[in-house]
Amino acid sequence: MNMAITIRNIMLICNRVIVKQQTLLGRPFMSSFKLYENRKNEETLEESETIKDIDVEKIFIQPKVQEILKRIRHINMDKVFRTVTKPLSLPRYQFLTEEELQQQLEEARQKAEIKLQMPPVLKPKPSVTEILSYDPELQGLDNFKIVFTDITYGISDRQRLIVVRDTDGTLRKAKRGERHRMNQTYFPQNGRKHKLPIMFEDEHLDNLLQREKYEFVLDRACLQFEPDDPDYIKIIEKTYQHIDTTRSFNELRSTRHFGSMAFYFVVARKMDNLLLDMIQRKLISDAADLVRLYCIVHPDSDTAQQSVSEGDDLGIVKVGINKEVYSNVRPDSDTAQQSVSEGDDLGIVKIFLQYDSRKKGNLELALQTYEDMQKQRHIVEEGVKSAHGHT
Amino acid sequence: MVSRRIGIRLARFGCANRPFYHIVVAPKSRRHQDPPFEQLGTYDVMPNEHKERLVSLNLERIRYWIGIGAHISDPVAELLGLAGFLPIHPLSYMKAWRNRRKANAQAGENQTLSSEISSTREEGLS
Repeated sequence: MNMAITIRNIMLICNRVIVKQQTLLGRPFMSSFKLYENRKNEETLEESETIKDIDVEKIFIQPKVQEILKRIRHINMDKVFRTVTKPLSLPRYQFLTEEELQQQLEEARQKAEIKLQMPPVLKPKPSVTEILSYDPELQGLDNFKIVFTDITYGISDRQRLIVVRDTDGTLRKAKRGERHRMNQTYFPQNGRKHKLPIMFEDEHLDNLLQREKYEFVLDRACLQFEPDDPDYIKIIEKTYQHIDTTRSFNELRSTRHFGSMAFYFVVARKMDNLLLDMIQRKLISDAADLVRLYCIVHPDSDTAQQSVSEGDDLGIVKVGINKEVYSNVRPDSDTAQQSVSEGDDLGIVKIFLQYDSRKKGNLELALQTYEDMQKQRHIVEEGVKSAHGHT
Repeated sequence: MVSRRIGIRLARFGCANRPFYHIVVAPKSRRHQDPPFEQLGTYDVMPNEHKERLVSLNLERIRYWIGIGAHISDPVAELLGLAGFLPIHPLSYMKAWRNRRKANAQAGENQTLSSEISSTREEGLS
């Protein structure tokens, strides 16, 4: 009987992913407001210069962009289900038939997909003060603000109505900080702190980054902040930039942050180091996907124009015949690099090198090395084949 | 329609020198230790470190109980008025006005006092 044993104790930490709709509820509750004025005080905000003119929100959620980001992220099962420090628990051993084993693996794949859901990329949204009513007759009533939170069941944190009555009689919607505090007071989220954790202050953050605790920082930031918080975007961009300088992209590969990171580099046109890393790890299909992503994000760039004229379909068709995304092998092993359309992949990467690359020399050298190695490998394979009598 | 004996009002929880209120709906004849029909929110009177008093309101249920015909006590009506849910309660206006008048009187007194002091000083100097 065909029996197999799984010795894998699958531990799932359900990191909460903050993907929530962002629509304000139009409820009859506000009907009795005297809408004296609807003034909006926009705080001056240094919008990150890279995301200024590109509508990242729309591009990020495009299916083909998501597809590419997922493809280049890789699912390395060993890393997804790696041991994490938790209270000790006994591993569970089970006898399974081959069929059951496949079923279990399929379930694990689905869990991995959930675990690796990417944090959304949003534009930084400044804290806006929306004044609902101004009643100067109430001046002197109280020396303290009163914050009212609607705790009606089933409303999400982003939609919840939170208003503040200031001491001068103004009734306004709560600012970002106040919202955060009220949500955390009445609907606490596990792991999210009431006050900003000290690790996000500049000096401590620098320390963490120098120790290359990238995933820790990103996970914690993802939990602590809303994805459109300017502070969040500042912190993750700083982390990404640090990763770029230390070139430790592999730290994030097979985690939920890799897609967002790659997207950031592509949008910011700083993807050369990442591309180099991919080529050096022989992940040519990933490199090509990255360039295709570049073409989608920057359709006016020379690469995009050129690749369209040469008939590359930006990988939309290739998605269907995706190979070994779920391969259990290490991404830099030999089997992972066998590509159905390696010629196309090399072609589009070369187009990018020619037109939009900033580190052309290094990249070309790496690509050359890669091609030479491929040739060598081919020759060796032929030799082995003939030695085995396959003519 | 349910009789007006049901009321939305504050119930004091917390302990000595630390008031904390639940906004509850309960029959008016309720004894202190009886459980209310439902809790509709909380009111933390003590200001926090950000100089805020916190109020939470389950507006959906409050609307329901108002629809049933529950009576709203004055303190709760004041809170709902300040929240913009009901028109501002007359008591709030009265309190604000009285506080302002008191403050003005205090300021005027201080002014006259300070002017008196200064005038007596001038007299003393001259």
